[in-house]
Amino acid sequence: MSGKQKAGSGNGGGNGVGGRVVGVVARVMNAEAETLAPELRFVEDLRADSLRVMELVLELQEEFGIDIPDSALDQIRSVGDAIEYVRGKLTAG
Amino acid sequence: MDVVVTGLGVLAPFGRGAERTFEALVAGRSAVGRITRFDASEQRSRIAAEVRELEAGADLSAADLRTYDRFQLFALLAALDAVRDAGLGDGPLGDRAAVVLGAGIGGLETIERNHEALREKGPRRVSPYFIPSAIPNLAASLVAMRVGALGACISPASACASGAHAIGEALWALRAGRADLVLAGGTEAAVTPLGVAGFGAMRALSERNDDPARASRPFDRGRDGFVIGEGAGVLVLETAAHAAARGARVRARLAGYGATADAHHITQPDPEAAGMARAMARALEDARVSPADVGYVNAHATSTPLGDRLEAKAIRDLFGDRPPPVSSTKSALGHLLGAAGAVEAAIAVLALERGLLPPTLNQEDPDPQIELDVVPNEARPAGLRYALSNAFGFGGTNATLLFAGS
Repeated sequence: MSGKQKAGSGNGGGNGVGGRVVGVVARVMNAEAETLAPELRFVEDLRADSLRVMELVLELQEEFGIDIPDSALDQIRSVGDAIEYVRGKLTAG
Repeated sequence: MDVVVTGLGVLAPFGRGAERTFEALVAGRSAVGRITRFDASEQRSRIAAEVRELEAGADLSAADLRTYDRFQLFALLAALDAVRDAGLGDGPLGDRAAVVLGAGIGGLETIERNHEALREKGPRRVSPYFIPSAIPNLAASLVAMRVGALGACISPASACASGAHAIGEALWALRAGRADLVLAGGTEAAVTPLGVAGFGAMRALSERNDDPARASRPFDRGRDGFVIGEGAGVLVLETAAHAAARGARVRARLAGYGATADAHHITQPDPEAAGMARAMARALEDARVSPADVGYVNAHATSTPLGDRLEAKAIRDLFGDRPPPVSSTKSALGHLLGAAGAVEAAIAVLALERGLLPPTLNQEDPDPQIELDVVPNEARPAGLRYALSNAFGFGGTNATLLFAGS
């Protein structure tokens, strides 16, 4: 991992949407938030199994009060994808 | 073929460690207190023997704690302790190793939490880990994964006899040559709002809420129901040849097993107590041991008015006028349900090893209908060669294990 693009700083700040998404990912994936660069993929890089990815989606729905349809799962494969998806949902909503 | 016990693992309300539990028992301490895990103020019974220590550490990650139900985590810790106690090292145990680890109920807290999510937020908010964390056999499977046991992996469900049946069935599997080594035991974590309410609805629990340490009083005239507890117990069982080949320390021999059914009623024991007596008799016959050779019985006695009296009758029917000393360690530990038979098996092994009988606490007013020496209130040294451990479950299912000193 490069470490040059830290999730908290590179994606809009620790307390903003990006930081909150990273917080959820860190909790669900049992990872340190500061290591979660946006390009990291859940399955390939963070070694999540399918249940863990489903749990992540569930927790993101809880955290942000949004619905994430199963059809969106293909778009949410990395930390950056999750941040982008949630931002889009919140903007659209 | 002889089967021996080479490792003990107990996670109980006194904490982690079989020895720690045994020492608390012989010191006459009680693990019963007010329920702290949830608001029990409207429950009939507001007391329990809870496991207080369950934290992330070398054996459990934060992810484990967040993902799995307590009954599964208890089993993992007890199994890892048993494996270490047996000196088995960290490598995979392979395909001659089995796991037979039962639970009476399973992931009740997980079920309650997910049902709440379902009701409040809808079906799409149920966790993907709900089913794996709820089903009883996942405790055995998590243990198998952690220790690399590739043989049979099964979970007897026989209510409060599950742990004892697991150990007995493991004995049969080892004798039949189906495995060289088995991690056998039971686990339970049903100190939850629904669990306590359910047993309370049956009027099965003690309501001595203002005096928790004195609430579990098996055989005493003032007994008014059991105190619910939680935890896990796992034994490493091996064929004697396998243990000898690897130079293992033998802690005891598992000499016999008896399993019977009352075929009488869903929750009430047979008033003749014949099924209980036959379970004990079968365990003795299995080992070709006569009743006179038994030096201690760790009773199932849960502190219910009827159950304790009937177990006492069964013991008298089998042993006659001079029954061996009998104690119920549930007086201190509460009733660990599906884990009880396994934790109490470990206690019986330690009693044999140390020549020390743990007491039945809270013996203040002897019940004239119970004609037994219940080792009242204080531990007692005793030379003994054989110890029985009883476990009986709802459904009228009975299991007795016979252990011999090594």
